[in-house]
Amino acid sequence: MTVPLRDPDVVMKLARMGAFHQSRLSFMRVLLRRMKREGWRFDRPVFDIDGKGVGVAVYSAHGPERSYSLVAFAHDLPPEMRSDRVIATAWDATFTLFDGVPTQADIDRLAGNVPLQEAGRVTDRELSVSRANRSVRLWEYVVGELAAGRQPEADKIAQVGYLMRTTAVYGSGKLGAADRELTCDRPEFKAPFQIEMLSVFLTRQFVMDLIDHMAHARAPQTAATMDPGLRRGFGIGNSTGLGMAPYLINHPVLLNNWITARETALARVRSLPKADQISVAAFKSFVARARTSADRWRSDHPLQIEKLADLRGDLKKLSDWLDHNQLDGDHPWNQLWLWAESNLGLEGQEQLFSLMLEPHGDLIDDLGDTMHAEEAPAARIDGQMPLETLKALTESVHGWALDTDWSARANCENVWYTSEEKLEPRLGSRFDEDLEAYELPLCPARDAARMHADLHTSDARTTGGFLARHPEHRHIARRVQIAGRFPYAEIRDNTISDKVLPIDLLRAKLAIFGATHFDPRSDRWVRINMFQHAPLPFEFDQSDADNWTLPELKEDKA
Amino acid sequence: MSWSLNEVEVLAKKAAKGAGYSWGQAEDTGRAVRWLEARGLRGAAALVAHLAKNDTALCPITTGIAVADGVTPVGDVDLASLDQPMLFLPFAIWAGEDLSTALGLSPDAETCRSFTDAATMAALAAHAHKTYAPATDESRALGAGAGLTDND
Repeated sequence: MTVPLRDPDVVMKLARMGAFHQSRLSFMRVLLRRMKREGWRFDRPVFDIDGKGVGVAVYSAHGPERSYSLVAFAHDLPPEMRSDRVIATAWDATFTLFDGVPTQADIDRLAGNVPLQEAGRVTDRELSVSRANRSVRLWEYVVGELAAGRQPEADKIAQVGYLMRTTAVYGSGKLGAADRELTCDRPEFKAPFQIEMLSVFLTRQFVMDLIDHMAHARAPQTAATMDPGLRRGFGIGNSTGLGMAPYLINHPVLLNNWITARETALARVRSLPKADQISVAAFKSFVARARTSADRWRSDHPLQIEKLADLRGDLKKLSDWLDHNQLDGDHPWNQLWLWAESNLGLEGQEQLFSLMLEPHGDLIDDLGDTMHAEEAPAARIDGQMPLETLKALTESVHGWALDTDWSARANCENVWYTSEEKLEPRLGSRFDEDLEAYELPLCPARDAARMHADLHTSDARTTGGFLARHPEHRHIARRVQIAGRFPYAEIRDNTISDKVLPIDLLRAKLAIFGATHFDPRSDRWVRINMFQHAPLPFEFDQSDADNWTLPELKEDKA
Repeated sequence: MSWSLNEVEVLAKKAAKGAGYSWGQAEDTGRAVRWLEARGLRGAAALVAHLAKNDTALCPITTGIAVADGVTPVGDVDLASLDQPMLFLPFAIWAGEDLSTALGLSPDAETCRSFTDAATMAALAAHAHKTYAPATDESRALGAGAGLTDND
């Protein structure tokens, strides 16, 4: 029996995407598995930072063929200038990932640009640009404790989970950096966002070195060095807002390939005729670890508090089910999955999705190599496609949208637009603000319904003939054709309704990156943690690179 | 100064939209400019020159799209009447017709960098600017969804 992939009408809904969890196929894990397999080495050729925490450091990663270096600039930022918003102009630390190992001349050039971020320029020797701010909550506490010769308390660390959080990690040619085409043929960067994930992985080592350095600078006689066991508890935080939300809509083929890889993995596991006892034992352990993770997951936002309650309840039901079912029947993973579909909510189903992949690396890890996309060729419109075919495709992809009243305020309350002030995507009210003239094409469902109305009355025979008379539908016609070839390319939901939650889009993307501990701060921006509990670069060669995303059980540690 | 192709494509797309093309046409314009710049041809400058004109010359973008879509056979296009014929070239090639020689262009070695001059980029940015909504007190307060402190 081969279980088919889940229906796009089930998967590509905002509420479900907003319940995604990190998995074996997340980009952070793809990166660490590769670096482990290939025996990457890490060193720190430069650490020139003064007692105030100002200076530059370089962290290099050496792979089998090439080296990459994080060039980190540390700043002494007055507290009143510290802001995570994209409008900030200064940060506690700024970074670039350099292609190779930089010379002093490279570092001097970067020192004049990287600290300026958007106001600076980099070149095609640079692969990413990013910045980070300290967690005011935790930074001063940890420096103070270490300076006094004490270790920070694990509970206090866990309440925040990071010492610095990035507020933007730019790749793919932003600010003059190298285009993806320049590096995508390198095996290490074939999977998406490997550059950005490597940059964050190295940033974490920099932050841990910096905190020890600052404590010793403050009290050279008494300062302690952070206990390596505690060090693992610090990830790199991230604060992400609306700027990232349109990404999944703007990259339909890439989105399709991400979801296809995930859904293929699930289908492979569900199709297994039997479960071996080692996998079952491992799975049960992962379920227990996921319960600990859910218990530790904190958020003050009402939406997330509700989701966490759902998740904890679902995990309890799952544990109870496992107490009475040994996964020893026919196609046991599929039986478990079918039970979950009718007994768990979206949070529990999507968490189970990730947990079912965990013991099956040999079966599914190869799918990490299928998650990149050649977007340009797919964007060519097939002008010869008969109009009847375009119409049928529109009905099949956007069927629900064609029956929706798009003039009703509730269905079209929001407008996506770019603000003149910040040049960032924003969301505003169609009815209370004067924004419609600036609307970005980020509502495929409504646009498909509009096109469909004109398809009915057109006497054109081909898509090209239709679009020659209706250039306003060219954007959505392209999307519909893409969705015809790539089933998971389109979000099959309303992205402009009065109920849309941009954080659903953010969570889907960030979970696929590998982020944990989603903590929405409003319906429009979210904080997360990256690489928490992962091995640090300088201990990487002695560590398990792929067993860190869920907390270990106490009995495992003994 | 040099630019990534991504920067040039995104700005060209927004410039075309700002100048009055539809989003779908603007996307193809951005791709055409990127295609040219990746071959060392001055696609961004050609777009600026085209957007600056308001005459009856044949539009290389709408004509190019009609050819790429198979609506107009390339043989029916009066090449001599095309404004900025360079912009038409990528569309013709996408339609399977290499008009390099006819248009007096030689697209060769691909690069991942554009050396468009700053004035051209500024001209594109001026067109792109028309796609940005002016800030209001309301959008400042609500648009980004801030409101909670992010400084802890």
